[in-house]
Amino acid sequence: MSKILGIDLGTTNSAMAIIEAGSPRIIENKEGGRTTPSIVALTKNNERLVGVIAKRQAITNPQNTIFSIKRLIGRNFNDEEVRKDKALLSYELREKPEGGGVEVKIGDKWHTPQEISAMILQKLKQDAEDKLGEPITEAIITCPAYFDDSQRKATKVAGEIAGLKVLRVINEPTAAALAYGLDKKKNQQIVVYDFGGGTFDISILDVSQDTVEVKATGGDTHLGGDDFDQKIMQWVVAEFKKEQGVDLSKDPLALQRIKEAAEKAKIELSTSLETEINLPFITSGESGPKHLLLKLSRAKLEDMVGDDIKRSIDLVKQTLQEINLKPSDIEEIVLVGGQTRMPKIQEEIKKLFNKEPNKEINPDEVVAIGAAIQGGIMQGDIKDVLLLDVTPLSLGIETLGQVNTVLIAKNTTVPTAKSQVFSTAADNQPSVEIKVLQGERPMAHDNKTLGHCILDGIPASPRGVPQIEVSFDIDANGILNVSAKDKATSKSQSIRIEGASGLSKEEIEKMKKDAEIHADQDKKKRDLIETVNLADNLIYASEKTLKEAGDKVAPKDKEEAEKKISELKKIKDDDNIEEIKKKTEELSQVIQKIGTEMYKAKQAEQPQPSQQPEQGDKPTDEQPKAEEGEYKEK
Amino acid sequence: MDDEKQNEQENMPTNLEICEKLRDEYLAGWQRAVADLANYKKNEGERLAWLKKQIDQDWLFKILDFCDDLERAQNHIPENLQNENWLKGIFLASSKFLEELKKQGLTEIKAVGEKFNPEFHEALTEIKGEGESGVVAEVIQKGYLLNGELLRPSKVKIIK
Repeated sequence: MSKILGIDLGTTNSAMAIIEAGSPRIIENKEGGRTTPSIVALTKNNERLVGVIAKRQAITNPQNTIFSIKRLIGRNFNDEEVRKDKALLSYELREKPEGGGVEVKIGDKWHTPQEISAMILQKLKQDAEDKLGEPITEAIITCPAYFDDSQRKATKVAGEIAGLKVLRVINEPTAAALAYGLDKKKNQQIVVYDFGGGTFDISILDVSQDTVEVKATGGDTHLGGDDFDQKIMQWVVAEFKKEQGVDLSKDPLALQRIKEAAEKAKIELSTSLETEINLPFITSGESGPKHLLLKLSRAKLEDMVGDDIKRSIDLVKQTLQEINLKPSDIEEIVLVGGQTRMPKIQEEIKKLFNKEPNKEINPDEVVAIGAAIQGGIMQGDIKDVLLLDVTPLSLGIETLGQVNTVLIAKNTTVPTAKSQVFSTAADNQPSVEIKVLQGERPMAHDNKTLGHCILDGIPASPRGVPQIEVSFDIDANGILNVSAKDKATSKSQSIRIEGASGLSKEEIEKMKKDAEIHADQDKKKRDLIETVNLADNLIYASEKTLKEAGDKVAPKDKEEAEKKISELKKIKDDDNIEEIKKKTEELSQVIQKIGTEMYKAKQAEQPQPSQQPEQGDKPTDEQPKAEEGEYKEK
Repeated sequence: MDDEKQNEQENMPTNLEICEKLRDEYLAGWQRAVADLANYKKNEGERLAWLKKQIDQDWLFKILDFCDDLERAQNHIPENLQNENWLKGIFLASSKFLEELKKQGLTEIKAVGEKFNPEFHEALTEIKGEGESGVVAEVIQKGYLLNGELLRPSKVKIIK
């Protein structure tokens, strides 16, 4: 079963994706790009070039370099749009001899826009086949929601000329909504705000039972991110003229550098508040070379393009009004197009709808991803039965100091299993209690207790020695099995918890929110407990060392260590974390010193056979180490 | 009537048949899932390599941008200063830097005098000049290959 290619056939750039292991993935083109310029050219040697290579030669071959073909596809030659675009296009157009449609000249031949689009699709198909190592025969292609029947048919024909069976031509906003899984939400109104390089589209979708319907469309076919670059360029040229008195607008080589720098600055200002445009030796006059150095702030950029952003927001409002909707009627907003990365645009949208827009998926790729998902649905790759759930909240057990030790973190896909080895917290501890917790808070009692069991019959041994393996296993239905096994005796206990994710959506959200609200406070508490646990462990180990060493320790050292132990014991149950850390460190140094002395003494005794441990048949340090948390004493 | 009923019963799949059919379906799904994971892991390796390449390219772009500026400075040294030893020192240091990059697999793309090839060259403008039409007349910004693959094309002027 060959894969279905999802294709976003864009005005400026195109992208493609497939479904792999149930999830969508963008396919890079031969040149390594995740998007491909929608440009086709014919060289003087009759060689056909598509994509970035066609773009690189555009200046030398403007008549035979076809870009923005999407603006012409399926249109009538006498369309208002075609007439407007004709002035902006560098290649020749004519009416089809048999009437109606448009033809463009490339070399000495006339081609329909669908033939040109087919050349782009052919490259995408070829590159995908090379990348995947298998033939691609079927595709889903996207088009703007406002495309009429003739434009959709022409898009389909383009696919067929390219050797693809076009299973469906779907709307770009619908694809974007699919990428976010919004098709599963019933009875919702969705706004898709698509600010591309050269076009701005707004669509309002209505998701009802099993269908996504386009309720209204709006936008401006000549408003895009490229206009923002132009405005930055104009500002740079004007500032330079003001400062240096040189007009760079006539210097194509300087303009080329400014154009690149403007785009870079625009991108940088999406993440930082200020950027520097630094172009040394931008020009050279009689007085020597001149350098361009300007600082551009985010606020200044927002001021420059403020009218464009406002216009886009006005268009959103206008489109909503056309179908008598208010911004508050909209449940979800989806951002498409690279320009939507601009913080100001996101801010304005948030202000209008009073909601966070969906923006997690790369806005340049979201449409192709949605097209691939549509393909996956049709192919059955994404079947409901195969949809795997995730654990909404973390699952763990309570360990020493009432700490919640997480075994399965939230958002882990189920079915899954995880196990970890724990130990006892006290000498000769006969049993451990396994308390199963659900939630994000670090302290056990702040989480929901799902159940508990007791594993007893642990042979008497020093703390930290018994190895108790705790395993969590959640099946696809969310049923959690918890078992605890003493590795020495193989004795085990288990509990089965049904409906581990049986919390309502509200409860889950509340628990997540609680965790966020208390994050700081919880962290402090947890730090304190960890510090106390560390102090406890050190006291235990120090006392053991002193006891085992007997009179091998110098009385002075022993006295000092005992003093430090008692000091630490005295303060360890207070809440003064700094003081506990300080005293722990002091004790640690004294004990280390004793250890070093003993080690030296032992070496001096060599080559006598090394001393056997006093108890047991195996030295403790050869035993496999038990991990992390320990149980509190029952 | 009874015959019909009997026929119907005979044509009905038995529980075992239903189970076998389901088993085949589930086994196929399971095999597919395991295969998908194996393939995903393989592709993940490729993707990580791709990502590493992107990161390498990213910082190289930045460094080359800086090298371009140094080269522009070198091209603008007034004639009377061209033999200044301290200036020479600065540019020797910069050429040492480029040499180091070359050892890491960076090679300059040949352009001047070559036939324009959009695989490696980006045309900025056309000029009138001596020589064959479509040949690179001047390099505005040097292009480079990294380990044989295009890092960035040379930006060139072409003879009309």
